[in-house]
Amino acid sequence: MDARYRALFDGSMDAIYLSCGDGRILRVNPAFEAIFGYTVADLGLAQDVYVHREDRERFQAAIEATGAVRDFETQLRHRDGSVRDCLITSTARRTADGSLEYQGVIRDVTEQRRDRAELDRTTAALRRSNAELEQFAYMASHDLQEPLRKIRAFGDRLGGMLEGQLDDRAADYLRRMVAAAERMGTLIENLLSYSRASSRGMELSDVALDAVAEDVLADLDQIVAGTQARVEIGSLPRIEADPVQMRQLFQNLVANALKYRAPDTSPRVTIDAEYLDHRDRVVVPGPAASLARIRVTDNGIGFEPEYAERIFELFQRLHGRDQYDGTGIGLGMCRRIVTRHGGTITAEGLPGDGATFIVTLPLTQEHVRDA
Amino acid sequence: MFAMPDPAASPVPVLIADDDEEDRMLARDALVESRLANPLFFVHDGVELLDFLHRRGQFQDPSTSPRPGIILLDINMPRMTGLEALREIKRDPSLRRIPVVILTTSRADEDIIRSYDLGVNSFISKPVTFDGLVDVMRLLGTYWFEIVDLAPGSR
Repeated sequence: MDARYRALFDGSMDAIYLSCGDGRILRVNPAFEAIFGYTVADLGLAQDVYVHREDRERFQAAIEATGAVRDFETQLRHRDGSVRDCLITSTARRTADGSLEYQGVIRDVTEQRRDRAELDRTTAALRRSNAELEQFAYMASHDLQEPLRKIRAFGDRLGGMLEGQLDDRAADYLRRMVAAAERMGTLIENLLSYSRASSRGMELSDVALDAVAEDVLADLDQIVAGTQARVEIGSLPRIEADPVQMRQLFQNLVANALKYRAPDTSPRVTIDAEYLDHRDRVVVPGPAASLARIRVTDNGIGFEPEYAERIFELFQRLHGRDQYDGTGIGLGMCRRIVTRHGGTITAEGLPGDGATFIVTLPLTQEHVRDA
Repeated sequence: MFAMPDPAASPVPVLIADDDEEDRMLARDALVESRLANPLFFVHDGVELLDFLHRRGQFQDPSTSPRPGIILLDINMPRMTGLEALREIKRDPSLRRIPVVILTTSRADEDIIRSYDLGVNSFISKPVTFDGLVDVMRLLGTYWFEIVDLAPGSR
């Protein structure tokens, strides 16, 4: 054997063997010895190494039919009796005297298979527990609305019946009670839609994001007009996504930009996009593009950079309710939606200098279909 | 000379199926507040609702279990849910002409679609405020007892 081939043979991590058609092993490499614990001297016939005799027969039939076998899956036995999961790739060759010889490479995939099975189990368990959690959140928030509705309704009734009879303080207490119940109602309502955005199956279609942004703007026209905001929508891509969730995403981002506007300045919001390839390099739209990076930029009050991550956490707020009303769910929902689409969302900002939300979304959802 | 039927003289009975005592209280109060003079009857779940309509068990007396002109139906109830009762009512030739209005806390699309598939006449999400409930009762009264012609024999 040529020295270079010898080095390949000896240095291979996979087991390599040469055998006769009848199963006698002629030569094995060191990896073979390491994986199976045999040397050529104490190896019997190839078929004796098989855990399942019928696999050997299938292998034999396949190689006799076509002269080659690729990634034949079977289990082989170590000398100590333990079972290894293996992939055999082999070719048959006719020797000068007309007899058959096989040469093959055996890859030991036992660890891989075990890791994979472990991973599958963990993933399945995680999925289950996520689904249960979401179901729980949905049920809990639905059942929580029920008593709350009663507090509000009977509070209303009480206020109506005692109108004019309560002193200012008592009337104020009652008002606060009903208002608190109302706030909690909003909180639960938002929690419900967050949980729905997380647990409802995604219905993917081809979504024109500029149309989505225009729709959202139409929905928000009251607040846009009221704040004299200028919202500019650049050219946005079409992507494969859940249209309802995309609308929610843009709705939350634009509403957020308008809400945290700077005092005495009319808000300006721009939405634009660029395309990235799979290495996050900016590219022109076309076959190389696999991601869209969408920026929603405002000239609002901004935020301390140290809070850039925190604002996406559920119920996290940077302002008191007396400054800005809210439940701390909107941006959490944005992250949830983007994550479900296999994308990312981050925020950049400085106090008094506006904020930019950067959403990166895959143009197609192949990763979902593959999963 | 013969008397013209005067709807105001014998207002059609309203039957409410709701398992929640407080919701029944609120519904009664809202009906009073909305000045609807219709006699009001309550049942607590789907089984009782069908017993009432078929005058079975405790509901045999026609004076306390009259045929309702309209049914307001909650969805989540023990023993037999509103949707199951709705299916029975709309399947039954003797009952299917009675308008059924679902009045529920649910806003789930599945419930709405399911209800209309089963032949519900309206689906209403329970308003959160009492004033909202009074409005709903008033509008229901105007619509079903003044605008709409109910099937003969409903009174």
